Amino acid sequence: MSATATKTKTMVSRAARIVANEVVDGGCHRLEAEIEGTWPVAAAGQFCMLSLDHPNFPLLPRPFSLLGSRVGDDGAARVEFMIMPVGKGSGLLCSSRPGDRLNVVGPLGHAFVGDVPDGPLVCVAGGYGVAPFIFLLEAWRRAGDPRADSTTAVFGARTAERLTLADRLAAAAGRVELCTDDGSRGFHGRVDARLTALVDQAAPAAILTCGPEAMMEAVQRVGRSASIPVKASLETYMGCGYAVCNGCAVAVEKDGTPDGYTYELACREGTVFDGARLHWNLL
Amino acid sequence: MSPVTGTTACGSAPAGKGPEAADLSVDVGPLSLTNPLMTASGTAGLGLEMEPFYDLSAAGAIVVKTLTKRPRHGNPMPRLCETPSGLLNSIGLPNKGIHHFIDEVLPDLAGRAARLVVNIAGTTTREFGELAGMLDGLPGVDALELNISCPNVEGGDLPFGRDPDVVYRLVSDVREATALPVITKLSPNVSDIAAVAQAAKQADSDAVSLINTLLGMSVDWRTGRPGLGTVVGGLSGPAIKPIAMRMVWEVSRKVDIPVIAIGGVTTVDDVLEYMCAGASAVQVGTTHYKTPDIIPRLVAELGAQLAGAGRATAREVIGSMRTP
Repeated sequence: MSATATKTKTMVSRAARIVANEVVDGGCHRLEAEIEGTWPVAAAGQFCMLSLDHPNFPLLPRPFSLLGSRVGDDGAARVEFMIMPVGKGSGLLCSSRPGDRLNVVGPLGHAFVGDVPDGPLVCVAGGYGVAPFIFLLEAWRRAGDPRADSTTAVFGARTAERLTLADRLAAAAGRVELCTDDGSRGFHGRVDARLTALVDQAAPAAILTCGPEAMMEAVQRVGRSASIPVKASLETYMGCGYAVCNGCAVAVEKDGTPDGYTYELACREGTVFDGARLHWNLL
Repeated sequence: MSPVTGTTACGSAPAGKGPEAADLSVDVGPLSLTNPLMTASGTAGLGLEMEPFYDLSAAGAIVVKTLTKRPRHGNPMPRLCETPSGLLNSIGLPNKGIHHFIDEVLPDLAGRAARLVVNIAGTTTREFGELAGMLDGLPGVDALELNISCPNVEGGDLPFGRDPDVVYRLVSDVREATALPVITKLSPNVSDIAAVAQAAKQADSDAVSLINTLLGMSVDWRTGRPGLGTVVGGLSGPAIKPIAMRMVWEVSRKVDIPVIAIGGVTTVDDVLEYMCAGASAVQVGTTHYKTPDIIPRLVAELGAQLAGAGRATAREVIGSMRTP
């Protein structure tokens, strides 16, 4: 199966074969699958909707951020995801085996980097929100992009064992700051406290963040007070991923509307949004 | 359920053609379709969203998401809640309004679908007529579907869909405003759906489509929160198929009007079961979310399935159920 970047189709629906399913830190799984057929070029921040043909798989597919997406030397496209078995859909995905068929719709949504200003970046990840940043930094590292070295990654979790794939992040990023709520590894405290100190030392051009909503809102506050733009990747309930179900509405500010906000779709206009546009209390 | 399983039944495939040669074309009143598979309104956007996945002309018809006179925001989150074999939704008909569709979308969309059905909802019976008049004669529009039954707009279930007299007036207003084929989409949240279908027929609706979603709700007792932001919403998916099947059969038996079945279609057997029970065509909804290219897949399988069962046409399955 040759996998080539398609220009006309921005997203595709494909069958894939699971080639690896391994438990990584904190009970999280790393799932890798080989796409059958063509696969577009994907970028960090984009996601896929995954489902299995298993009879007990739920009605809706499940959205997961891409941990990686590359075309190998043999021409086959491989995609990687980090999946925590928290419910029925994710649980079944985590119990899949090499050789099983995986249904993949993607790549969906906007990439993290596109309209981000030039200059050093800080990526703030919480829990399994680290996936797109591993993708971003590894892609830069492989391409010899100097941004791999100029970017600082701040990665926080409740405990050391929840710092999933921290070593892989550290291998790709120029600098990594680990934080744990219980102090079991790295900085003892929350990522926004660490971020505030970093921003005071040297203001980055932009902050990218992905993780729990409360964490991202705190990151947005740090960015706002330091006048640094924040790009936040939102996780929402999602039905389709390609803008037909309208189930992933996100409240964003809009002047001239009666309530001062309107809805955009996380899958189409996001999942990466300007933190300053988001109506955090309506998310 | 299939009354005939032998391959010697009348209408076997013409000699020299492969099993793919089964004739899939059907007629829904004046609307002829190359195959019986349509997208259900609200599950395939304005059609263009499906283009990355398949050529729109593969579907018998594309039915666009409901358009209203003025733009609508839609409902607060959460708008979706998965239930066993089903999906509750409370989307609230977000759309940019009929003018945006006509000016900005239709010029691009026209000609891409084999048949394009535009779904509309008014806030009064007269507004339905107004919307129909605006679409009448526009290039690329092949039929209208009237959403008289959305459960997710202010005040709960729209009153239009429940009362046969109101449905008669509403369809009559639309009929006066347009020469386009009219499909009236019926609510299952009524005590006698055949009576509503009869009213639509008397007002010269060309067909009825059923069912829209069933009113439902869910709650998490641990958090004390309802599953949907509006508490009550509409249930779709395989969970509603037996109810829709019963209603399709009732309407097709009691009312002389073409029926388009909607409700939980995921496989080609679902399509053929609905046709066997009396449907002339079938809409696919919630399944789009997991499988965006479900329509071309079902079309391909339908041909193979019919040929394998010795049926030369899809048409002969319509209403072929044998009542005990």
